Amino acid sequence: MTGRMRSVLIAGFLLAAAMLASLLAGAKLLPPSSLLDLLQGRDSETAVILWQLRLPRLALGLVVGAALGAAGAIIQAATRNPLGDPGLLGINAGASLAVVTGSGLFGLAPTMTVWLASGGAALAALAVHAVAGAPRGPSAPIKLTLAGVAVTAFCLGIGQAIALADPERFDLVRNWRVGALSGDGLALLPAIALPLLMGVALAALLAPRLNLLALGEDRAAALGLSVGWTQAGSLLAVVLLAGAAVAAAGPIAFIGLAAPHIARRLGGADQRIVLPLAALVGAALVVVADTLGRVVVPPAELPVGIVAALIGAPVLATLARPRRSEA
Amino acid sequence: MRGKLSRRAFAAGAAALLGAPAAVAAPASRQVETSLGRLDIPAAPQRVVAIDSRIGLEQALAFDLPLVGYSHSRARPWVPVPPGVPFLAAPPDLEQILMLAPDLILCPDSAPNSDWWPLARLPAITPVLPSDHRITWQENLTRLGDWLDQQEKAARIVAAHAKMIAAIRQRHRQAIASSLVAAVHYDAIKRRLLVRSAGTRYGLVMPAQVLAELGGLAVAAGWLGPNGEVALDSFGDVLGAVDAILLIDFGDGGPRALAREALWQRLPAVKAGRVETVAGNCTFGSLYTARYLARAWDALFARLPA
Amino acid sequence: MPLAARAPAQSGPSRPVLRRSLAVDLALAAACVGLGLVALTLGTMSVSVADAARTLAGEATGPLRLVVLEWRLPRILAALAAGAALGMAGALFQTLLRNPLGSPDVIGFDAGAFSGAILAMLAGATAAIVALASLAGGLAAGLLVYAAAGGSHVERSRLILIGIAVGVGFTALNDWLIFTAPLDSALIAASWKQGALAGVDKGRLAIGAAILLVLLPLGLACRRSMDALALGDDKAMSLGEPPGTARLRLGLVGLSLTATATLIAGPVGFVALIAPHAARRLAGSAGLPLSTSALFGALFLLGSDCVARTLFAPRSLPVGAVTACLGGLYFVLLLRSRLRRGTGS
Repeated sequence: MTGRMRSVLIAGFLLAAAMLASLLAGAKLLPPSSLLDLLQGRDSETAVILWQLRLPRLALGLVVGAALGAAGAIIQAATRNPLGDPGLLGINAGASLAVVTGSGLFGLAPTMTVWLASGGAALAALAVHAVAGAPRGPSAPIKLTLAGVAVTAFCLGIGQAIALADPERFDLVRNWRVGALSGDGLALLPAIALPLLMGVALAALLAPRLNLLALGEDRAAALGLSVGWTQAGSLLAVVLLAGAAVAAAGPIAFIGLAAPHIARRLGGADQRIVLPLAALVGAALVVVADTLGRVVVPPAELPVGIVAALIGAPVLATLARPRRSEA
Repeated sequence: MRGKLSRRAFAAGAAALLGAPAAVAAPASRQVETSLGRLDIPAAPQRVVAIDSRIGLEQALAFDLPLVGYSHSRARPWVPVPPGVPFLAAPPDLEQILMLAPDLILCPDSAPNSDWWPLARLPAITPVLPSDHRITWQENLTRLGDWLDQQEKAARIVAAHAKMIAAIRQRHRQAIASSLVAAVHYDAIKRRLLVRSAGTRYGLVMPAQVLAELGGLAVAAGWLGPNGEVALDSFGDVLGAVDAILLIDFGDGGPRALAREALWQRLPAVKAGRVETVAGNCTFGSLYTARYLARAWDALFARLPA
Repeated sequence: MPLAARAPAQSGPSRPVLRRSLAVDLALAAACVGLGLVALTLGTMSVSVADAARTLAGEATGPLRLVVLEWRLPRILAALAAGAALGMAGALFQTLLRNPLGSPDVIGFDAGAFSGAILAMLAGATAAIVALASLAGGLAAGLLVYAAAGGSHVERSRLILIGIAVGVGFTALNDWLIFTAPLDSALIAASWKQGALAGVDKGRLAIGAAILLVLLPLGLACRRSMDALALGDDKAMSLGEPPGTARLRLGLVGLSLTATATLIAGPVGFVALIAPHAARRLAGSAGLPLSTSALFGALFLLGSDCVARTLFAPRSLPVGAVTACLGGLYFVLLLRSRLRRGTGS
């Protein structure tokens, strides 16, 4: 238990370090002392940079990362699929396609597209499940992942066809293909707040039920759990969380994959701990990826979606390697 | 697709395909030497296509070349395109151009194998005269004037422009000599300014050229990213010492988004109201854009104390 | 596993199956030629089929010759060549990995090949070097998957997952390279990435076609190894096909085919994925038929390119967007038919 406490502490320390780095790094590097300006409420340029740019961006990164991390954890628990990730399962791509269509074709505002994104996410999730042949058993994760990759490619293809039909209009929705945090956090956060809160509340309700589900569907049902409703609620929570994340930042893969695995290593198997911990880890991962993206090619930025993929690919490869017990 | 072609152009194309003699007597040709090698171009071109609506289109109009179409993007409002000249498919469709049966094509040499400026594939249709966005618009115009044997007209245009520039220099001698200025465009999605008054990877952009003609002082390119970009965080560092800013409005809501940014509002030039907004994308061009920008810089320097 | 490749019950297909697959192959080849002729007539300039045929016979000059022979024909040949390579590569990999979705575009070998190709292009290499780099990139992706999996004894499903990871990594690398490249190279690389049949580079096409002249027969010669592997490792060994060697052969030929298709057309998705399924349905065979897959892949990519050219003409879509849309539709159809058969749960 003390070992676990220590690792949670280390994780918290790393998150704090990542947040600090995110505040100080960027096209203009700020000295650590500039944080004092923030505390003293001085009207200096660094204070404005921190208040207007870095803090909103940090908040956006934390929220998007937490949503993706929690969504991944819910998928992994509800479907008992260790490779569950809204990016890998095509859910992000479905949401993104809905955003392109909504804001590009119909000129909808972010407050509207976020619901559209959730709808697209739900459709994509169901499509992946159906394309994979509603699989069960040990080979299900792989079938679902493959179907997810195929559905992602399909959604990107349609999105590209739509976007290229009228490039001038669709230039305005440029980060629908690769996630980026360059948007205005102050404007985006209120727009996605409602679905996000709904997703979080649903996740809190689901956590104890997901613990039962971990015993296997039959035993969970024997213990009085309504398996169907739990899985439907999980799907709803996932599409709300992933839809909000995609509406704010575009599709970012691998955060939802890696965060729950790290969270389980840190916090054990209890979903009441794993879910919040996965959200925390997801937040940290997105902040780290975004900070890296801002310092590697200055003064330009590498979108967070590209960095997350570069970091996440080895994570997936590691998880897929033998010597693990899930298969 | 076929329906989009005008009937006249189609007929002209068909006539060319059938090898029918053109309505005008076959013009004598001239031999010229370009970066594409030695070519024969008509002495008096009858059907000209400008691949790029910026440099080539303006040049063609300057020399009164009979245009049958242009591509890339719609002509800017300050470029006097005759009403009958169509905007073609963009990126250019080689078959559409072929069917217009041009006898001369103007194309930038920016990316010869790209879809947008297919310089490498156009000579199969008809002779192509290249333009180079890395040299000044006057050099481009003079070069084209030499090729078209219209040296006198080119010289007249360059001289008229020089006269206009001299008058502006005269008016704002003090302000031009003592103030640091910048021409910028705001990308509201990436939330970055793109400085267009100093050398960037895009070559010699027009706001920078005209400012150089005026002898103005621009923000040094060393402060900027390879494409002239400035992140919001660096506004103070890069633009803090700037006295006046020419804000280029692409019509994409950039200035409105910029006005919401506190770091923009904090800039001394913005606080002092020394921002001149100029409407339209004037990054590239030739004489008309140069004239348009000269007026814009004139208005900006008028905002500075003499 | 409703989508999975069924293992043949005995070695070698029966005579009626053989006859049917031969007939299907001939019909597909005829369809490729027919669609190719039709494709020669598509475009802003109207050209009749008769004119197109006359031009192919070398009896035309001027604009007709330019449009048909210089502009449209290379594009059609590129679509046919890349499509055939992808179709066959799909059949090889799906057999090798025993998974209907285990195709080289899903597991990212085309992304690896494309990384090699654009790195060489950005360095200003000639078409021949770009071709070599593309092969090297594809092989590097394959090796990476193999090494990350810790050898070939690993379960195939894990290999596929690792392949997805490697593909995602290479795709991110490609995005980064295009993102930071100078404008002119970035423009070309970006359009190539989306399926560059529109401005197909004749140097790359010529080299790619020459490579395919060797690779496609080599691929067809893999038939025996595929059949042997389908019977299981022990049986394969007794048939004189050591399974390790057989897999290596299939993998290498499949990777080279993928890399060559990428060289010609860019990383175009869904062709390698759906061609083998369609081919098996048409041929009614037990395993994935190689020649039929290649022919269907060629027909599918050419058809997609015709759609890409005409849908928003004169603006042309990237062919990859069209293959993704049509491939997705095929997926849905596959799904519906399965549900109707009642095998889906």
